[in-house]
Amino acid sequence: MTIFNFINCYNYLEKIALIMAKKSSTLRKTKVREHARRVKPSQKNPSGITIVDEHSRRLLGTYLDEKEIYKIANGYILKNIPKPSVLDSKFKGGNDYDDLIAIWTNYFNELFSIEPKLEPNVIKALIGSESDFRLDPKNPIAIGIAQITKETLKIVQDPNGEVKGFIFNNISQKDLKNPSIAIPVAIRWIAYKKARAEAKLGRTATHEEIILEYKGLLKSGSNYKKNALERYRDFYEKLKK
Amino acid sequence: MKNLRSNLFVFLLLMVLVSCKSQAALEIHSFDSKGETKDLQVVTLNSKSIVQKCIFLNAEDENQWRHDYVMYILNEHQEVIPVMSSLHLAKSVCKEQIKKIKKILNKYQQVKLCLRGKIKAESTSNEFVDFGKQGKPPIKYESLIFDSICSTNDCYSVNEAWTETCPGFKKLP
Repeated sequence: MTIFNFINCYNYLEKIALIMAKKSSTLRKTKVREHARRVKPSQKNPSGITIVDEHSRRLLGTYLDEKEIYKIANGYILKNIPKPSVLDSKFKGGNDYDDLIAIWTNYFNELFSIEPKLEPNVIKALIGSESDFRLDPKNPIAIGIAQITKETLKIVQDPNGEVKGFIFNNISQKDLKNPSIAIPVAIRWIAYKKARAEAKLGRTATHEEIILEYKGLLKSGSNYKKNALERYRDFYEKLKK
Repeated sequence: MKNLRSNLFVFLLLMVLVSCKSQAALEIHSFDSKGETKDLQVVTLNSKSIVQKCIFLNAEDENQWRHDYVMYILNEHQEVIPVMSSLHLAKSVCKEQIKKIKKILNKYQQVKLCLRGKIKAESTSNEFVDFGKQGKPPIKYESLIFDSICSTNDCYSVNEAWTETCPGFKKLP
């Protein structure tokens, strides 16, 4: 890749991140002026008052925390949104997370105006290929049902990082063992990976290319791309039957 | 007496030949799983017909942990059937699995495997696997998924994700 290509690719990614910041090209932030705050009286603050410096604060709608995640999921109307297909009963827990997959796929499709839309079956097959629908397969590096790495968790919460347009707040590694938290984080990450795959390819990515990008294999020098897709394909074919 | 000795020699020779033959044989029995026919394979084989590997997938960025556990099975036609873990594994987890299975392979001459998926010929592969003294045979089948390995006394399974396993094998909770 030449430097020119690299800069082009970077600019494109940046553009996508900004589009994903929903509607405007600036992040929805507000400035909080210097103000006094009541604290518990201590040796450092005997008066019980401390001065908080001026700082910026993200406005609601550009991030999700645990409380907001539950609020959205619990209030979502499932009736008219696309749901993943049902797997046969040989997969333990294979259909337990269908509602969560449907809700969060729809949520991010709408929020980011993703076109073509992410398919719930793609998300379900990806989760199957990452964890066999186990809540926390043995892995010292990646966590939970979608095998989110500690590094990815940092990125999706970094207000200045790759996905700064829409981030999560206050999500711990332990939270990722909970599918109610792990699934929205994973789908937000897939939405980013879709945009990234398309920036790399210069065209709309197929579902398999999105999955390869999620697994870090789209443009790597790996000889094992076919192997890496095998389990995903297996799940996806079963869901498409 | 001479006759008796030669009879004994023939008998011993036959015994050696029979035992050699039974060690080399590989038996596959297919069973139905929920919703699919002949989707579970019970393979009885000699421990020496198994080679294991951890393959680094060479993924980018935060995905550099991804490894594939692969077990290669050599059949009596000098063809290789590859078997993989259902999930990508971190290197340490993959190595630990190899160690546990190797312990069973080193201790017992014959083992039984429970594998998932249908046995299908693979015509596009041009990969060969090094089986040491047994040569470098080609991969001729599509990959199956590893479920369990058992000897007469020991077992190692990674079948927590399914609701059933092969007949005669133990299902982990």
